[in-house]
Amino acid sequence: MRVLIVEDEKPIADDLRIVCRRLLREKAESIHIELTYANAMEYLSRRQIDVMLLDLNLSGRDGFELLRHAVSYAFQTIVVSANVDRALEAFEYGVLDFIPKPYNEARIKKALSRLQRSSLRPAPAVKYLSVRKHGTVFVVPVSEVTFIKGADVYAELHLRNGTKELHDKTLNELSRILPDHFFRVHKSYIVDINSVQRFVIHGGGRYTLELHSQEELPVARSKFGELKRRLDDL
Amino acid sequence: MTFAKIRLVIPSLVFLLIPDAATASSGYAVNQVEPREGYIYELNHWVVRPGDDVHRAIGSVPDSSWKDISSFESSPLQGIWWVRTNVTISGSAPENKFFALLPDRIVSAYEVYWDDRYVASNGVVSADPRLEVVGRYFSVMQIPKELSGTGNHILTLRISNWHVNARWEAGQFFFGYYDSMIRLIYTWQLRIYFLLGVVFLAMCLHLFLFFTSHRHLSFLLFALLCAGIFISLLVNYYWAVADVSSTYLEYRNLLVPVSLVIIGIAMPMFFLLEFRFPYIIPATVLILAGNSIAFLTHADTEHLNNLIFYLLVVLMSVLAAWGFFRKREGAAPVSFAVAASVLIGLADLRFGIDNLTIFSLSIIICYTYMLARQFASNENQKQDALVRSIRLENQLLKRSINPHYVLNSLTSVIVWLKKKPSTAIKLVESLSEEFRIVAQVSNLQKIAMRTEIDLCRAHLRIMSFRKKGKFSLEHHNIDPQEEIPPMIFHTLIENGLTHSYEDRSEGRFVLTRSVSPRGVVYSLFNDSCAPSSGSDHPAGTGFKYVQARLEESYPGRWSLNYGNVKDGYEVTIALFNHSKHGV
Repeated sequence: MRVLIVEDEKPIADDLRIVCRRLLREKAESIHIELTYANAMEYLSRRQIDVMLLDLNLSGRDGFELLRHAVSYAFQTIVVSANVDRALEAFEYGVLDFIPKPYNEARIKKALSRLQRSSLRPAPAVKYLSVRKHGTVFVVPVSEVTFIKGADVYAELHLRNGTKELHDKTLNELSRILPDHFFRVHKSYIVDINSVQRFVIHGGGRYTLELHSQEELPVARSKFGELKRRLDDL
Repeated sequence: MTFAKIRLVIPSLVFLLIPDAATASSGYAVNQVEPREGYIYELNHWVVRPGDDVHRAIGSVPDSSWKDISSFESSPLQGIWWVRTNVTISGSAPENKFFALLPDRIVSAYEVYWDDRYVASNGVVSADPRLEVVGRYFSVMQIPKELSGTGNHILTLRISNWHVNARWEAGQFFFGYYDSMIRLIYTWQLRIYFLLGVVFLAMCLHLFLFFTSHRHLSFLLFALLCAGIFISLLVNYYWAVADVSSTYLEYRNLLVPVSLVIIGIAMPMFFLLEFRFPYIIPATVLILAGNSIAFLTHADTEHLNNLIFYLLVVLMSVLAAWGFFRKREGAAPVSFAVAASVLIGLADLRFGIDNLTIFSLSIIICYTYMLARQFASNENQKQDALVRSIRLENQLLKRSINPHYVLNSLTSVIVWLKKKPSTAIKLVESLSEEFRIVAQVSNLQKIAMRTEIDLCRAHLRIMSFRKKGKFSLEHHNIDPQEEIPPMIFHTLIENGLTHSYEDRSEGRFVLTRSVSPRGVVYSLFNDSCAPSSGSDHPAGTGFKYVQARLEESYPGRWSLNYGNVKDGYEVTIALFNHSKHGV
């Protein structure tokens, strides 16, 4: 696991690194520290990471401007901050966890364990997905997404208005943070159950979903049972 | 029957009428009067004959030796005269009503003859000055009912004046029902008491303000103005509130001009100061000259009253217009008072009160309204200042003991406890010192510079521990006892640390004080680069706090500048001895 710690107070950054190293042990491939967000972005342009531990109050900058940027990447973000009043909002932007300061080792351990447990969704579910485009970051409300299609290491967000946006996280990573009404129907598709108009059985083990937008999505045979149950529940 | 003119005498239903004229068989004009409840007639068409020839005055037809009273000239009047006029009464009076005659301002003594019969006297009339006894200024003379039936009548008076230094021919003669006369007197009394009360209260208010407020001279001037109006009113209308001898007229003619000149000078002088008129000396000379000319050229008190009135209308109109365009407070109410009193005069709604009194009262009322507004505004400002002060105190506490700062600092304490407990202890001690000082100064408007520097150094020590670096503060030419608003430099240092040392763990702050004739300048330099984008600048909460504190302690007398300098960044605070705008 490749960890980036972004924290402007060096003693705390060093301590976080010591704790992470102790918790991750051999799983820690690299644990790097950057004291400023600019340096962290520069690091990210050269290296891939799996998780970022981010302090929201870096040198007085607006933490959520940083957060919106951070969650647009493929890696997961864990916030470590004294700004607990904005924890709920941070989850809505899709962070994996929010660790309030002062932290302890047990709490960091719990947050890191979320990385390994893909089925464990943080509560509450994310409301916004950050998208990086043309050098800027903007947010897409999750309520606007009808389905998501995997595109290599990216995810294609298909929106209700007919447009598409590219998101840096994989479908696996998105599955961890999206609300319950988003269901992985296929290795390449996550769909919003509320966008489904009808479920079509073609025979021969082939199933599709027809959305309100008239689009058709394939459904994996292994997902058929659970999907049917979810649709029946609606 | 129609009447030439009607003047209302409010509040009672007493109407003062000028009766129509008709021509008697003798060829002289007569006064036509009709017995009516609540009506009083002012008798005219008087003829006068100097001397005491009773045979030609009583029981005879007036000959050419009788002159129209309008052509009569004497100043002052000393002598004995007969005056007469004709009265035609149309209609009969009810059983319980009888007529009366009320001479006004007739000095010193007189006898009344109705249809050549003696009916009443006021004082003792005599051709011999030694035998004359001065009568009352105000005397209602009853006309016997059996003599005042319907028809033509002759009213004759024998008047002597040897003892009072005043003229009588400007006086008036009122005729009507006796109870209507009395009601007239009561009406005047009420009016005068009310006006005296208003002016007296205004005078007392401004005297109290003079003794208790910093605005000394203007309050004293206004009190003087009110005193002038009070004297003028009291003297002019003293006859309505007290039974006085005819000699009252003499004192009235002496005191009223004095009070009028007091008004004529005090009113414009007050507003010259109030409006901060720049040409005080020439304006004062003009005011004194105007009043002097009026005083020296007046024919009688009524004439002087009108002269002073016209003079004040002109002066106050000019002052009010100037004040209005220069946006002086009070100009609008004064303009309104001038306009209102002129309109009242033109519409003759003065209810018998002279022009100058009405004008002065309008000014008093309008200025008092303005004063009340100022007091209310001052009270609101005080309240706002108190609220601002409390808000600033809260901001001070929030800035320094805000949860984020505390939690971040505690995190740092925990980290140092694990790493190096002695450093953790020092960090806790520095935090304690900072919070202790903040608790001490939070409710103060100013603190000693020594305390501010201690606070700044405590904060720099905390941040040095937190960032594992070294931040220091030097100071030059600082007076430890000098007082400044709390946490000004603490806030600026905090700002600097947050925004300008993003990737540095060492920094140097230098606080310098310099003194000039204009005031004191503080410069806070730090050796960082320019603040990062989006950082706290004049629009941010830190600078807003600093600006609010400066304005609280040095309203209009400060400036704050900032920017890159050689090798660093600098914030400069200038505190001026006087307002930046020179006011």
